[in-house]
Amino acid sequence: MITQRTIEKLRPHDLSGVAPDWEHRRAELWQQVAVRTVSGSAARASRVRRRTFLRVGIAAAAAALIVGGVAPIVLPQGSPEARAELELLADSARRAEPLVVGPGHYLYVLTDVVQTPLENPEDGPLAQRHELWTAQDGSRVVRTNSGTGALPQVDGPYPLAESPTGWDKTADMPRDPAALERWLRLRVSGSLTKDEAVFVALTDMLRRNNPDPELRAVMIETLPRISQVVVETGRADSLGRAATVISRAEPERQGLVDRYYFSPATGRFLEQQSTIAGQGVYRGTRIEERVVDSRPA
Amino acid sequence: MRPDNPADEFEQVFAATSTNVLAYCLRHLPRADAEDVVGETYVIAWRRWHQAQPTLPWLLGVARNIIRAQHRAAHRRFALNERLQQWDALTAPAAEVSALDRANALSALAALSDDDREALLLTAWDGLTAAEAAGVLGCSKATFQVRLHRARRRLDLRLAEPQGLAIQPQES
Repeated sequence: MITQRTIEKLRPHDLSGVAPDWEHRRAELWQQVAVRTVSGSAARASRVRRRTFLRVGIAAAAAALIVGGVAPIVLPQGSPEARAELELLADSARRAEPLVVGPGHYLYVLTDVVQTPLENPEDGPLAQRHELWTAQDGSRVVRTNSGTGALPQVDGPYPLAESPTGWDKTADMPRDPAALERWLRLRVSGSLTKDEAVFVALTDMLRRNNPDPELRAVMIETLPRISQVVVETGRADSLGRAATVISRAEPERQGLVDRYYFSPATGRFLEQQSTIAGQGVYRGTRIEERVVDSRPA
Repeated sequence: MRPDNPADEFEQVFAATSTNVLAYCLRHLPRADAEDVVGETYVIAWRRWHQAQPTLPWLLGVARNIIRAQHRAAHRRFALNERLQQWDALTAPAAEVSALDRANALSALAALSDDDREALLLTAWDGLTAAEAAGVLGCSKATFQVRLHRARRRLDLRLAEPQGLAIQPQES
């Protein structure tokens, strides 16, 4: 009789069956690794085996960030490491499958929101579930605990008043981080500082709009151009999903910090957490995001 | 004895663990791709060397995420019959397991979902503890134990099914 014990007995003890030359190959592989690590430059290594390492390199580095067992690292804005981590995230975004909303289709987004009142904490946290269907033209149907309809206050697209980008129309936005930063600085408003406004615009568009993969990547690459942005790697959101966290504490505000969790594998938004003086006041968790072919009337 | 410099120590880690990492990768990918992932895993390990020296669970976690991030398409192309052939070559012929049982056991494994198989084999083949395997999968130990329990239950169901597709032993 076959049992789980049988499976354990089949545990591979050596690789002679599938890789009889592994001992030799291992020595070769070590040489390739050593050139890239302990004894040489990445440039030399990429010439040695460009196909292999360039193909998996950036994604692999991003993947390393989402492994448990390593203490999360906080990288301050402006550091080369922070810039590098955001480039990795941008690369993941660039390579991710887009969620294309064609005619007759809708982007369905399911979000769980928990708000904790600061003034009356005895009331307890308020939990709400949002379901959002957005059509190609940007028209939306929202269903929450409190009803269904066109509820404008729930996760609409980021508004750029002078040059409305619309929900899925981002063709006129620059595809270069420096140019996008300049473009946004000319158009954003409504925050205490211009840097805060640009940060809000970028994170809101990453969260609420549906930019194509290239623009999503450029948006991420623009973030380190803003002051006070902090990157944390190796984190997990409230559902335990691996995350790279981007946050910014506005010096003009007293203790308010918005932290945005993004998937290191896709660059897509996972969760927002807001704290005031270290106390959690808001958490919005994206549970599901997919293209569907129907929506409630 | 502990080497004097990090480079030597890193080489020792590579020598001690790379076979295990390759064995893990060979469960998911054809050999050429598996070796690529092994190489990249250690490049990342070196990048993090000053923060923490890599353990086998950590390395498997890196390899797993590389595979997931970059090799999804290749993984899909790595057809079931190819996977079975590779697992057959990979697994040790055990004197106490007949060829028929071995084939049926591998078929049952192949019939599981990727998540179930991963939970089972991280403990059964890679020899990780529940806490270590949870680290590889990026979940809590409690969550992993639930996953493992469910995976074992589903494996039991598979093993209890009639093995109609198994290769029949030749009649002498």
